[in-house]
Amino acid sequence: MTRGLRAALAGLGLAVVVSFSIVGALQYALSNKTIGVLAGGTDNQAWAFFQLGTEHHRLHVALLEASAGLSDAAAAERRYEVFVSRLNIVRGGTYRQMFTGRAFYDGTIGEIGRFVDETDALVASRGGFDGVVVAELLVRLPLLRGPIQAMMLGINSVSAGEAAQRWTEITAMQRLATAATVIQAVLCAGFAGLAGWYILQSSRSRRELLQLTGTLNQAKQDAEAASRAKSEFLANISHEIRTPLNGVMGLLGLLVDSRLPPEPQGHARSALRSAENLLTIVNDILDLSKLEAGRIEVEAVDFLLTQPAEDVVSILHPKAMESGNELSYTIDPDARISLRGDVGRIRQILFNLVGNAVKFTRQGRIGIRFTTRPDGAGALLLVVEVEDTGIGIPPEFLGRLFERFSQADGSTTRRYGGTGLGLAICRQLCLLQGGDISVRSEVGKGSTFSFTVRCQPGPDIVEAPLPEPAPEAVDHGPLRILVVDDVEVNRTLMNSLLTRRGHAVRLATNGAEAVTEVVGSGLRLDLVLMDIQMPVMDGCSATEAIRSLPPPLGTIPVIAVTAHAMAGDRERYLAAGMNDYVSKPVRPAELFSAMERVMSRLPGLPSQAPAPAAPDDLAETPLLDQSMLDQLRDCLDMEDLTDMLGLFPGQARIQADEIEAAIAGGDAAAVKRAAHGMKGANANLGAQRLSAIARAIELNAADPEEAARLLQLARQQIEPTRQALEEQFAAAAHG
Amino acid sequence: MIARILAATFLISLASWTAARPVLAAQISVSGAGLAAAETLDSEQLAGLPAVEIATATPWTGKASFSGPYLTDVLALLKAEGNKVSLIARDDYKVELSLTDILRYRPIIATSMNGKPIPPRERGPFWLMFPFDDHPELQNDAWFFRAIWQIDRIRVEP
Repeated sequence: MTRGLRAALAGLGLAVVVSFSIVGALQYALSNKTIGVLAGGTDNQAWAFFQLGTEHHRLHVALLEASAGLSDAAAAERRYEVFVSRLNIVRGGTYRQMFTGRAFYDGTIGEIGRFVDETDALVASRGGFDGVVVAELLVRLPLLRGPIQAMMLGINSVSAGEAAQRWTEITAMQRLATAATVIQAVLCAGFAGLAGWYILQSSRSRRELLQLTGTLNQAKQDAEAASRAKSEFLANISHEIRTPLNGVMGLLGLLVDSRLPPEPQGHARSALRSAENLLTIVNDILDLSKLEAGRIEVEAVDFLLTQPAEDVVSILHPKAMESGNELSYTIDPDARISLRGDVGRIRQILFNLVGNAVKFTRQGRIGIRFTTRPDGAGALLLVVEVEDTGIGIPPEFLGRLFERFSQADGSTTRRYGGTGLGLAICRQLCLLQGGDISVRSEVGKGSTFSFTVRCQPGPDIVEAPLPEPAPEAVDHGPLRILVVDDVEVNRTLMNSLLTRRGHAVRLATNGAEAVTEVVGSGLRLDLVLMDIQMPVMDGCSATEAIRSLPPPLGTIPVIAVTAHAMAGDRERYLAAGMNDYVSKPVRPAELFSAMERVMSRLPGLPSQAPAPAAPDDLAETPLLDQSMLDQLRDCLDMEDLTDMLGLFPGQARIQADEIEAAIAGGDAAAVKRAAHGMKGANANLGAQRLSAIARAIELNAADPEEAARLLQLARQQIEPTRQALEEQFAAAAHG
Repeated sequence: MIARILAATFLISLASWTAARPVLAAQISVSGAGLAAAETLDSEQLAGLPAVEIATATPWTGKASFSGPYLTDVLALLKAEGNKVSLIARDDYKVELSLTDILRYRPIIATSMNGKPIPPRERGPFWLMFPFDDHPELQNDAWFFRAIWQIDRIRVEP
């Protein structure tokens, strides 16, 4: 609503009020006037004077009748009294007020008054109203006719005048009232018009606003769709980039491993490092764009707060030591240790922040602090603070820190490396988990990053009641068990669980210690419970190392105890030579049934291991992975392809020889290692069938006969593969 | 409005014309339904009936106190029965009242004002008076004009 319109409306309103006031005042004046008229006419004037005249006549008639003997003097006296009462009325209050000062009234009233006074005096002197009085009055009464007549005429003219004046006044008032009414009508019409116009205006602007809102909504949706499409594209493209990049890295790996002269060897190493950096960047982009495209689902697994803390600290500790930093974590005594949430993502955020802190701190301290607090909605908020005494961040960069490709300044990348995506990924991960991330920093003093994620409380850490052993279960009696875990809480928990069951327990804090324990134990161990993520040597490597020991040490049953219970992980553990696995947090019943399974199977092959593919299956596997080859052709030029083709058969044969030597040496671990290498190299080349056979060898490394049979099959594939590759590349060259 | 007029009304004393005069024997003649022949009511008969006091303002007197018998008592005394009553004054002024109104407003035939008999020259001796102050709907000319003074005759109509 414009100011002008508002002023106009206000003015009109004021005018309407004023005109109403005028009309109100007029009405008041009119009604007062009317009251005045009524007051004048309370006792009808004309009637009162007319009655006086009439009584004058009647008195005259009564006097005549009395003198003629037709009636008595008393009747005449009664008429006289009435005549006097009429006089009294006419010269009483209202009339007197109205007409005093007018000649006709004052004269006549005075005359009649004198007549009455004289008559009363006469009556008094005669001692009554007798014939003498009647005769006297007959003489004097007619003398009043003239004055009474004059008074009647005067009153009449006054009435007429007053009526005329009243008429004039009322007419004027009517005119005024009419004019005011007209003005009012005009003002009201104007007011109504303005109001209508305003209503139209506002409805029009409302329509426009609605349209605008619609347009904006559409634009917002379009923008969001575009952003999603961009993220989708980025996610897809980075995923696509990774595959050929893996190929490049595989080939570079082959080059680095081959016997090249020093200079090209150096180039190959540099190229491999560049490729690794490139892969890191692509992985970051993939993570971020997946997050932004909403392709990432939050997982919910039970975990202990110590797990991510220990993992991150143990991995980054060596790096921190290199630059002279202390790295430690504390868990608030009131914090809840057992949680349910996406521990993998929490670990990723923590790893990123602590990695940064280590990178930007020299000769200082890096502290991690964990606390939990209720979020008010039945869940918990895990609050993690990562504090360092590093170089700090200038205030002008703090705002942009969590945006993509943002680093404190351009030279940071050159000095410290990194893609500038880490913190953006962290922020997205926090948001995804219902939390957020923030930072406080002072240049030269250090920085404190603090992030929150929403978790559910995990199961209470109490000892579960011991399950009744199943009746058909074989009782293996007390076992001698090695528990391998880097987290003290976990070790303690397992220890108490097992010792209560009567088992003897030994403890190790990492894979290397575990291998040492197994080696040093002689035959005094029946079972190993192996954590996967550990510093120094992880569970898979330790198991592989144990499996490479001569029997019977190498055949000791190993059960993986891990929080990594993703699809594919199981295969990985079994491939590493583990017999079974239980997931963290450890539920006693699960642990004991896994132990039961493993001990009952002994001595036998782990039935959980995927059966190696039958030769027929392997023979039917496509010789080449067409999509891999397409990607290779896209990434590499003809020369590279030709080089690779040249290298392939020799390389494949060398790998086959290595496997053969290992089988001959009875070295299962060496067989596994060599087969693993063969598997990777051929996968990178797109030699799908060879790669599959190599994988089968890797899985059957402990079975020399089967390995030898498979190796034979592999050797038969080398030449057909080479030919097929040549056809492919020749086609590329000429197509 | 009436009040203003009343306040403004100036009543002159008329003592000079009313004093030292023998009051004529005053009568009301009553005729009509339920009566074989015309009857005469004099001041004494009226004084014999229970006197009722009405304190009210009128356009002619301002605030005053009137006293006299109920009109209904007067009619009952004469065993007159009818649905309408006409009252006529000495100057032949005439008003008609329905029985319904008489029963509703209970007018009196005032024979004294402020404790004194009302002289004929001051609208006496018999003045029909309504309790105007008790009934706002009576405070207008239509009803003021029904307060007939100098009552001379009463006719009861069927």
